[in-house]
Amino acid sequence: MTTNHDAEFTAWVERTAASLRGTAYLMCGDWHAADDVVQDTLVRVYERWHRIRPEAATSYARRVITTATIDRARRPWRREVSSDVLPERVAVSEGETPFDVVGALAQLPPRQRAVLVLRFFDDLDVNETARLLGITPGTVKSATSRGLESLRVLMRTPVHAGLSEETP
Amino acid sequence: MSENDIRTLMGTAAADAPAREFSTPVIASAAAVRTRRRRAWYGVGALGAAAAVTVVATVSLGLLGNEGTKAPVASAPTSSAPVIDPGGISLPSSLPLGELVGVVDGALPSGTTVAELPVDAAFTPDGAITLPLTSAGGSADLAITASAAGCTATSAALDQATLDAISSAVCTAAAAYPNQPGTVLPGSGSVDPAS
Repeated sequence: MTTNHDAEFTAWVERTAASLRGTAYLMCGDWHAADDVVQDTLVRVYERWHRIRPEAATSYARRVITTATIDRARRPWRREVSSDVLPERVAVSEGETPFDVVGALAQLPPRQRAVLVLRFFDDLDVNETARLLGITPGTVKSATSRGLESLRVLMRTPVHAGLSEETP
Repeated sequence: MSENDIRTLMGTAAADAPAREFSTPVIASAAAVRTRRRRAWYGVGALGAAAAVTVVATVSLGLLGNEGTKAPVASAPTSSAPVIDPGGISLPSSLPLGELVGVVDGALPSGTTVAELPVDAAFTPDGAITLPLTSAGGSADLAITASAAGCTATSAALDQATLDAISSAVCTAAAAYPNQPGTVLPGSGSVDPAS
């Protein structure tokens, strides 16, 4: 790849990396996994940089991230395993939201989760979300509706509400 | 909880990202490794395909070869009567039919040859066989016996000197093989094809 292409690619990464990391994080629920996915995605974008238009690169990258995170969720060795030890909770300061949106998203089916992230984090419309996921707009709408309802139910009880009962 | 609340919550969660740099040289290096690995896998795939083709071909030829040797093997007869291999296509343990024909042809006078053999031409259990002869004067039969007791040749169309030469040549040829023509092979219940 030429220096000019590298410069264009670097500029694009600087513009979009934060957004792509956010998308990957909300889909994976884990920053380390998200960064791995984003790194792999950037490598694939770099390989095709001379063939794709810069304005289409972000859409392509989102598609790669979505596919990768859905595939990860389907792999048996990537699924969550039960543990006897509870993870440490992050302290919630005054005014901070006590709702664990990432934890709630993690409980949704992978494709439903992807629809919500693309629509409400990346602000994609129904048609763009459908095109990116390779599903019909009708499926996007139904997945959005069901996903939002599930999210509301899951987040109705704040994640830290149970801690007060455990505290003497 | 509204859609805007969901948007805000997602934005807040994603904004809390730990620092991470994505360096273009590192990405370029990873892309090069990926390309090399992919090409290597293509190579492995091509080698694997070639190996698979070789294995399949070998197995197929092996099966064909087995077919070729299995088919002629006579099964054990249900009766006590020995079975003659009429085609004479088993591996020879006694004088093969083709060699017999060659030996006889070599002993026949000029102008007389062994004619086309009938499909059931074979040594009988007592070592006898009849070969058809053809010449300008017509056709005739040549009866040959080959056993441990000796060899004989009989034909109305040949003189005694020729018949003696034929029987002598047949005995010489048969002596090169461990069994006499028509010998019943041990354990097989079948008659050695002698050809």
